[in-house]
Amino acid sequence: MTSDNQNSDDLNNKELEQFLSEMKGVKVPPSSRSKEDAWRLLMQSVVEEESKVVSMSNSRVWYAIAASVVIFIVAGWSYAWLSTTEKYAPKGYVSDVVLPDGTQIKLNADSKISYPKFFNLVGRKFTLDGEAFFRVMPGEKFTVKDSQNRTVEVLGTEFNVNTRGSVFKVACYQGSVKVHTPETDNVKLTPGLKFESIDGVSSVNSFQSDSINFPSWINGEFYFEGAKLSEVIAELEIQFNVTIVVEGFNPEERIYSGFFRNNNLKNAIELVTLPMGLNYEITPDSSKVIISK
Amino acid sequence: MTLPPGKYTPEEVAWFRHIFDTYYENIRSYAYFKTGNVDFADDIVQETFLKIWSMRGSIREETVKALLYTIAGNIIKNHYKHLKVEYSFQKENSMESPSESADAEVRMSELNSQLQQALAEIPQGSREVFLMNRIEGLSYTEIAERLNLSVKAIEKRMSEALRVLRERFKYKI
Repeated sequence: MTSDNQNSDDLNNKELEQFLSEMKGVKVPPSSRSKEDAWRLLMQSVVEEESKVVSMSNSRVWYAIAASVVIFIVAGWSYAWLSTTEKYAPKGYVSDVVLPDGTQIKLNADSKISYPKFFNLVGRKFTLDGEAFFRVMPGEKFTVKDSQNRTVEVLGTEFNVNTRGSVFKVACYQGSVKVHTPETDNVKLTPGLKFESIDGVSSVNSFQSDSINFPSWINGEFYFEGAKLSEVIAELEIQFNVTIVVEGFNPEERIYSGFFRNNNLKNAIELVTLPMGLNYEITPDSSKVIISK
Repeated sequence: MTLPPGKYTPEEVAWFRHIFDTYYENIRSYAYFKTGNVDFADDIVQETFLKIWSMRGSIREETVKALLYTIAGNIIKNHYKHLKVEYSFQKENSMESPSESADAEVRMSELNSQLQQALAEIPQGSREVFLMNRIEGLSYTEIAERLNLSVKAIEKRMSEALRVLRERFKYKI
């Protein structure tokens, strides 16, 4: 390494040296796809590009152009309205989506979001199945709905939506959002407030976010307070892509408060089972967990 | 890979594959250093190479490297602005026994938060140079070639990065 100003005192340098030497073993996190998959995907795009530029060379070109202009306008219009982009984060993965307007969406594991490909034209309308955190750029109306027509309407803000099964939870972190469900309409949420609808029963409560301005699942942490154990188990299954079998008790009836992290299956299972006096067993291939009384 | 019809030759595909093999990791790292997001980095790599492919007729061998970085940089500038860059680096060979890895994970997450705070203070231009040097292990000459800058300029950015870090560690303890 070339000289880095040797004049500062040794104490500082020692700290810095240690930091720099620790950095040596560090690398960029791996891609979710292999290099070979990246190449395959690239060649797919190449083929698509190439098929667009097949040339035509005779006197009918102009007719063709005129005809295609008409077709393009009609097709383009319906295409813009009908075509959607879909993103899915598989079990065990969290994925990021950035939209052309700068809006950022974090998709939790086993969650799917779809939206118009040309949402500048069609409007910012999203359909969510699962859980996602939104950091919305100010602009046109922005709506998120789920398969049961429960919607969240916003104008530039940060919020989390969870639409797993019968659950529908919305937490507002910045700005404000409006929630509509078939049972309730126009519930307005300001920062620190959350809306919950479980099995058709809805409530608005405040939630703790301390200095944190995004939900904890983004950091791989899952907090529960007075949650049904079945809900906790469902989250464990999604985060670790495992099957959890319950023996000798009903997880609908047990209530859990606590948390787990999604980086180590054994630790997470222990954090959930031990406090509740439950036993667990993990199969050697880590694909299945048996929780028993 | 069978080639569907199009105006390209097997030689061009072979050339493309070679470029891809050589620079895939580099460009991915570069995109990661600039965005702090693995998924974005993957998308940027795809876009960058696709662009290079579309320019294949007019590229000279000696400019490919710098061109790739320039294209990637432009894509980021145009489509990935206003990002809150949050790094989450990994330790090399993280396949240890569970007990060791749990310990290593704790150390890694500490190092990551330290890195995150330290790196945030380094101006963007210096930061990527610093990371290319420290994490990818590229020499100043190599970085200069890639970013189309003089070695002097790289030295300047490195010393800027180190100055910020030194400043930062002065107030620790």
